[in-house]
Amino acid sequence: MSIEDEMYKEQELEQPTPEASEQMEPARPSWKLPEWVKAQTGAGEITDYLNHALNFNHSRPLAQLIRGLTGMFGAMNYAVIDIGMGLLGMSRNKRPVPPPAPGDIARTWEGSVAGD
Amino acid sequence: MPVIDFTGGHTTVIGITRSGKTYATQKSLAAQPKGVLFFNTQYEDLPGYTQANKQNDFKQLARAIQAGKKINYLPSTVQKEADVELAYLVSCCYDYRDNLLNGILAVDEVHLWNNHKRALKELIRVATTGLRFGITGVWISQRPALIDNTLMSQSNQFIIFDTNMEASYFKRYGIPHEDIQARIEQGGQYSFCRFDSKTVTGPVKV
Repeated sequence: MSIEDEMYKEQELEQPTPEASEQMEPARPSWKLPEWVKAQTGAGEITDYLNHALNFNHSRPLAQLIRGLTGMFGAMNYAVIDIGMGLLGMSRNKRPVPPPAPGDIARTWEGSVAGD
Repeated sequence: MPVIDFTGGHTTVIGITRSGKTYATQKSLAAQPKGVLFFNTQYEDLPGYTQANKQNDFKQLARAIQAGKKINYLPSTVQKEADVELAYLVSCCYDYRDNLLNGILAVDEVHLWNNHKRALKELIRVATTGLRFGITGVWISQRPALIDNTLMSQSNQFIIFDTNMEASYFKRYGIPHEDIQARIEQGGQYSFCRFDSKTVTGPVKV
């Protein structure tokens, strides 16, 4: 490459000149939502997911979450999910629940204090 | 045998038109062993030099300089383009630092680049760091008052031919102008003196 060619190449790199193109580019790039955000939720009612394999505490919130995930990722009957949930369950079964010490105050779900 | 010795570092060659400064410089450069890139701003005749311009590949020039060849580089006649050429050539010389170029960059009428930031910046780079990267600068000018201060102050020697009305400027750099002028008058036409910041030697006739 001649000195002249390399000089002009350097100058172009320092000050890139915009070239006219046939298709006009928008002044600002439009921001698009990712496809997964627009996924439809899973089929059926939330109650249909209360007994789902992943709903380990059979709760409504978790059922709703699972329905959404089903819509995004499908039936979610993947082996890795089974393995992961199984390991989680095994660790929960192993963990001993310590009995409350005498005099400890334990609150029930409704908020009343045991022993009231 | 070169009349001017360029081995000591950067050199500034000063003299009015037709004083013999360019002739003596190009002859001395041709006679010494190092490769030369002579940036021939005035399109002077340089017998024995290989002509080149911006159509050549710099790698070719670099190989030639490393082999001790003398290159007569003819820049564009458009000052703005010549500014870019000079800056580009110098930056390429620095890219050869791993295989040191080990050559001499001579710029004729160097004062013309005083108002061209791009080239001047690169010349100052040579003046301040060039020797470390194997680039020796030779600055030729008929207007020392217009030569950039860094180029002057970083020169190890001054080769002074006949000059006019520059006495006050020489005093700024501690150059004993009166002594030199007296010696040149004694030596006659095409004679010069050498000043290395301490002593004046000469006159030497070209």
